[in-house]
Amino acid sequence: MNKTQTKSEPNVVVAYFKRNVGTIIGLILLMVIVSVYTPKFMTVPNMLNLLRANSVNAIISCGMLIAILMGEIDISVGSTVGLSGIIGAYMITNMEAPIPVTVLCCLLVGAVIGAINGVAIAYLKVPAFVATLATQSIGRGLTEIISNGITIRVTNDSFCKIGTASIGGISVIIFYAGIILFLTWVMLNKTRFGYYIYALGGNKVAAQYSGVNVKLVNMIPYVFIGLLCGLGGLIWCTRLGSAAATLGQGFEMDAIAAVVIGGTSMSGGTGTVGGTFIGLLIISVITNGLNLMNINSFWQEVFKGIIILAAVIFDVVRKNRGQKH
Amino acid sequence: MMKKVLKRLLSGAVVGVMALSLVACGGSGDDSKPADDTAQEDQEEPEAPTDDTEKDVADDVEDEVGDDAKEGGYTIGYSPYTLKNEYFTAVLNGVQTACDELGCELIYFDPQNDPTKQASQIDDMIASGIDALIYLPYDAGGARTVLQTCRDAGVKVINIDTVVTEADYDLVDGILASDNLQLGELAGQWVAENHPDGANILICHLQVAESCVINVEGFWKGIKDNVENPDAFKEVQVVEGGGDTEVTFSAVADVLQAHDDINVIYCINDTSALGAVQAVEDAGLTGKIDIIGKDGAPIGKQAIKDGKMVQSSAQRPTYMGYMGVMEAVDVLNGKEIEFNVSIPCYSITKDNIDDFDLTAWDSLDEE
Repeated sequence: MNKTQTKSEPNVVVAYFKRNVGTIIGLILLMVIVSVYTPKFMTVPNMLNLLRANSVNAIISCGMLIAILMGEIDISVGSTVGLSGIIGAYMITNMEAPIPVTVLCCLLVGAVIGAINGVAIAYLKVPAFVATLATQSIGRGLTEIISNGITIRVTNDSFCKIGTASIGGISVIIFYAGIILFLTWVMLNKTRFGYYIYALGGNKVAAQYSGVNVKLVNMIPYVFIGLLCGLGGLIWCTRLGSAAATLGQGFEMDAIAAVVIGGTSMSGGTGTVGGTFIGLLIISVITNGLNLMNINSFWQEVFKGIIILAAVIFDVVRKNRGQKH
Repeated sequence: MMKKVLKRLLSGAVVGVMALSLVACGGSGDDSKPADDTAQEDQEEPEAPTDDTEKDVADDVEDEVGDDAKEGGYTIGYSPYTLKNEYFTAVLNGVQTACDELGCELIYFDPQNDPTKQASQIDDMIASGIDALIYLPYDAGGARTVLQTCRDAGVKVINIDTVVTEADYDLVDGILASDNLQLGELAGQWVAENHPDGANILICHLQVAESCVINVEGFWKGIKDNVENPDAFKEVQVVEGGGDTEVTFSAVADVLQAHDDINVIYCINDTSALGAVQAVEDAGLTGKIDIIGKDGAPIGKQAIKDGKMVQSSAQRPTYMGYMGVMEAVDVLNGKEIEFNVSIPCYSITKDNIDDFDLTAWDSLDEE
């Protein structure tokens, strides 16, 4: 467990920088490079745009972080986003359901998929990768069945406000992401439950012997992840005013990338919300920066891959060094 | 020890059950859907030896068309890129309608944008006895082996929408496709008419699709052929929109940060145009930037009706699918068909939007 206990206020900031020194330097370097190439990058509207474009990824990455902290993974997140989004669009447009009911259903769909994952993984001992691979396929299939391969338009303007409204010129979905990041941080750092999650990823057997209800602690996070995906689907379908069967494709990869770049170990037990946040920013800057610099988007994939690799190598090197001393 | 083994077995079983239920779930989606083959058409004269002249490369081989197939009409296979995209579902509608009318059985699967899946699914179709294949190769350049397999099995191939390379024409029996250059040209003409003094243009591309590359070529041709000063039309940037709403949305939002002089956004389909619409709306530039889609999809038509998009060059997927089956049955019956048919497209703008059915893609009525 790498989680340093916070003692006093200034220490928090110092500790934060210390822990994430590699990624912070990387991020600053990236931002400097992009700023040199295009003056449009370092502007308030573009920064807001950058944050907004990555808000849903931020929300889903919080879920992914928790799964990876437990030493597991959830690759069904993208398809759950798609399913929730398409159900939202279908209900509001084709069934003319009331807004609160639609919102609730979107979240519920996510929670149900999450619960299936959780039960399969925690109680039935299905490996997380396999269980979520299965639900990914189920979710994607259901999305196609419901949408029938057709983009569903959302015509209810007040429903769309959920994703398009802004507060003081700042898009509301940035706030959603901020709240979720904060809640996840509180859960992981300030609650007993969060402590158990770290414990589970660090050493499952030890956690069990110390009296933690391992199965329950293992399952509940998946419901939470599912809820976040439900929210993600809701945001995208209201934000775009439409939902297509392809919604959410590849989201799991972006989320895993953010978490891993943020210094979270794939073997579990080590990682922070703060680190993930920097990982998110790095991915955002790559995408946004290359778009602004008019570089073909295929290169974005290449750069993302290189940076993930660099982050993991950095992580491994750091770990090895830690073991030697 | 024993316990561990048991546990493993159990989890294996659970996965197995899940996999099974998965198959069951998928079943209703992409199962083959046999059409009712009650209406046995009278048009089939059992395989009259070809009296055609040999001028068509297509009908050089007259394979034995199984006589048993005549009993319940023909069996037709349909293989698109994916069924996740409403364009291909519209084609499917046309294919299904034609099969129903002719009393043919229809078999189709979802290749999920994967040429390897598409190839193996076509093998499965051949194994289940299709007489003809309505084929939209995902990889137009790599279709030869699939075509050869069909030819060897005596399956007639009508290649629609995405045309195979010319070197492979000898293995297809008919081609039906939209005029991709014209699709782009119509959009270009709109720009030429509405921005006669020039425009800064953003292209939301799908660069891996050859048809889209031709669309964009046609777009510039449509502009340059119709204006006095072609140099006044500038390509500000080309972004990869993936033909997808959310990808295009993010890309356009970024570009609008970098450039404040964009007048026109040309998207290679209506789905991605919706993303551009939303990004422009977010930037508070609605009405200042003209967004052009392509395909004449229901969502595109609705957006034109709402004043969010200005133009969309319409394709006729339903008609194409319908005609594909008609041609396939003609070939099976030994009739001569025109080998390469180009289906004309038309321009939808706010001026003629009320002439169209907003809910369907296109109709089967002859123009």
